[in-house]
Order: sequence, then structure tokens, then C-alpha cells
Amino acid sequence: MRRLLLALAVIVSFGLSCPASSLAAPLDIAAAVSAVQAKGDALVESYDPAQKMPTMRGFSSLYFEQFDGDLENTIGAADPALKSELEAGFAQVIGQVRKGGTPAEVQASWQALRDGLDRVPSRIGGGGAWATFLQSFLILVREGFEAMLVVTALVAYLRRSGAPEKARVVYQGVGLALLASLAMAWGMSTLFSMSGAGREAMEGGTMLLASAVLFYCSYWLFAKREAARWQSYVQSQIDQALSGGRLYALGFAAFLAVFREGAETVLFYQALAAGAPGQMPALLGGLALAIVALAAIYVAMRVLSIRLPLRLFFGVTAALLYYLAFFVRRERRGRDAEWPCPAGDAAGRLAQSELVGGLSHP
Amino acid sequence: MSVLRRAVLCLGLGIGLMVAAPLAGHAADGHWVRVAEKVIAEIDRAEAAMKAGNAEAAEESAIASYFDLFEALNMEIAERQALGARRVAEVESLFHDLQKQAAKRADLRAAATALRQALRADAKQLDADHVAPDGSLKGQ
Repeated sequence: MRRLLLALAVIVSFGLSCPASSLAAPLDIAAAVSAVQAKGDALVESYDPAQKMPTMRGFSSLYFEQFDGDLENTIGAADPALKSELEAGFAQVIGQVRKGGTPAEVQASWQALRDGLDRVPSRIGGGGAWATFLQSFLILVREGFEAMLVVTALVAYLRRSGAPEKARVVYQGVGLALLASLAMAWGMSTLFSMSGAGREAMEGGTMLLASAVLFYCSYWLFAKREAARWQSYVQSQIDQALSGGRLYALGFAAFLAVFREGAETVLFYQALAAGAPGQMPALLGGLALAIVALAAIYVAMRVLSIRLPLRLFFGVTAALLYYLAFFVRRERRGRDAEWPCPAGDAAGRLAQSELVGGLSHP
Repeated sequence: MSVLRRAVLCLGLGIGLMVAAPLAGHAADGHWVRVAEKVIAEIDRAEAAMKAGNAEAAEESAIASYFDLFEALNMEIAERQALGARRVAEVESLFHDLQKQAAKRADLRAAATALRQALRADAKQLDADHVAPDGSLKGQ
């Protein structure tokens, strides 16, 4: 367990140590907003209803070249409503110009948009250190807990079946998954910045595989929830089951569960570090507290698994695994809804999107 | 039936459900195809105006196709929700290309063709996914 948590800390530290190589420099939000406002001011200042095209063209370029992209997506990650308001604001200004509105009308539309832009810096980074601390804490607790559900069920099964020493297969799967997560995170940072299709294929394939394996394992555990059947099974087949393919399946399930969460976690923290410059102490504080919380949860789950009756325990763990089996598929669809890019980097976009989406998931 | 066979059966059923769920939503009402055709009609106007030598009208239509139609009719948010922000970025890039070409008084055919193809393909997908007219995913 200590090795598990240590490895988790290492993987996240590694992730935090390499944002410079995988993420571009964080966007200077205040400067970007000021640049948009300055150009908008100049366009409105020079607006002539008789010559509307330069202003239309100017605002369209301002939108596509300076607002759309990094700035818009960063705003969307922090405050989707404000992002929509600003988008509508651009359309409003351009619409006013297009219909040949008076300078006062165009100025009024621009002022509303400008006021919205004024609110951007305060929305990015939100509550500062406290928000970063909380996000950092929630990311690891949430991701770690998901993996822990699977690992705990598998280890408890082995302990219940009288072969606790075989739990090392599960831990080996966890260890390999942590190493693979590092490789995956690095790979995603580089490969996906070049190929979006590759990201979709690999992530989708991993999730489908995880879903299938979890589904199989959950059924298997569920079928064993009857104590008598379970005891009978243990007595008659334990040696064969633990040394055969099922043992491999348990280790593989642990690998997939941790691998998926580990790669996500590194990317989340990369995005958080990139999006909250100067907040590293708060980020590390949240990380440390999350490790403590995960350790406490893990111990509590192990204690509960010992005291729970077999029928209830396997019923609950099977239900949890069924939930995860469907959850990974549902999440696959939901996470693509938003893909902000706080640092102009594909990995950053992916990670920040998952950070936002992930915290809103159950 | 052995445990393994039952597990495989359950897995098959589960995968079947996963595959069947999206297919069940294919009874599209065509809302997004109609929206896409409105956007495309404005793009057609831009292309026609440029061909007729009216570059300013072409540029105005190119800009309007995005701000007055694609965005105002919620297709941008629908694509963001259902197809992902990366796809939105690709389509927006096509709109931007069209506008830049129009500003340069260049031929719009290639940019317009690419945009039409993208919009029609995305609209079909949005209808197949039963994305609501406000851009939200049904059931979410």
C-alpha cells in the first residue's frame, strides 16, 4: 500500500515536472484580453456606417484570430456561460455593423462585450490558491478512488479466497499500470499534439477494453455472491482458478483500471499547473491531502471488506464494477463535449477538458 | 452452462446494448440538416457574389454565414457538445478560410466546397445523435 501511494506520488510529480516539455507557456489572460479590447476600441472608433466592411472584417478577424482558440477555450473551461455571452457579444457587434447601425449603437454593443471581457481575468483561476488546492485534491481523490474500487474488490476477493499472497498479481498490475501511465501521458503529450485521430482511437480502445474486462469481472464476482456457491467454488477450484487465466484477468483488470486513471491524473495535473501559474504550493498541498485521504479510504475499504458478509460484499462490489463498466463508456462520450486549450497545446486541451468534465462527473 | 460461458454471454449482451443504444437514435428529424442548408445557402451567396464580381457582398455573406447562422442557430454549440471542441475548431477554421479568401477577393470555390462538405456531414451526425435545437444532448 505504501509503495502504491509512493508510486502515485511519483507519477504525479513526474507529470508536474514535465509540463514545460509537453505544454506551451501558459496563456497570459490579462494581456490577451487587453489586446482584444484595444483592437475592438480602435475598430469602433473608426467605424463609419457608410463603410461598414472594414469594421465587420476587423471584428471577424478579431474573433477568429485573437479570441477564438486559446483565449475562448480557457474562458470556456472556467466559465462556459461567460464564454457563450462573449461569443454572442461578437455576433451582436458584427450584426449591428452589418445592418449599418449608428456609431452609438455599435458602441453600445461593443461596450457590453467589452464589459464581459473585463470579467475574464477574475474568472480564470477563480479563487486563486484555495481553488487550486481544492481542484488538486479532488482530481486525485476522484481518479484514485475510481481505480481503488476495482483494486480493492480484486484484492479482497483474493484474500477471501484464502490466497492473499496472490494479491501480488493485482499489485503487479497496478505497478505496471503506473509505469504505463507515465508512458501514456508522455505519449499523449507528443503524439496527440500531432494526431487527434490517434488520440481518439487509443483512448476509445482503452476504454472499450476496460469496459469489457470490468463487465466480465463484475459478472464473475456477482455470480459468486451466494456464500454457499462461493465456498463451494473456493474449495473445489481455488488452485486452478488462481493459477489459471482468471488470475491473469484479475491482474489485467487492475492494470486497466489504474492505467486509465493514472494517465488521466497526470494530464489533469499538467493542465492545472499550466492554468494556475504561481499556485504550485496550493497544488502540492491538495495533492498531499488527497494521498492521505486515499490512504484512509483504502484502509477503510479493506476493513469493511473483511467485516461485510460475502453475499453483501460481492453484491456491492459487483454493482460497483457494473457501474464502472458503463461509466467508462458514458464518460467517453461526455468528455469530448469540451476540449479547451489553456496553453495552446493538444495535451493541455485534452487534460483541461477532462479536468473540467471530470470534476462534474459523479 | 459454465461460469465462463455465462460471462461471455453477459459480455455479449452488454456490448450489444452499447452498440444498440446509439443506433436506436437514428430516427433523425432533420433539424440540423435544415440548419446546415441555411448556412450553406449563405455560403452559396458568398460564392455567387464573388463570381459576379461583388467582393464586398461576398465577404459580408461569408461573415454572416458564421455569425448570423452557424453560431446564432446553435450549430456551433451543438457540434461542441456532440462532436467535440476539436471538430468545432476545424469547422471554424474553414469559416475563417472562407472569410480570408473573400477579403483577398480570391476564388471561394475550394473553401466553400470544403465547408459545405463539413457542414453536411456534421449535420447528419447531429441529427443521428438527436442533438436538441438548443445544442444540448438529449438526456443530459
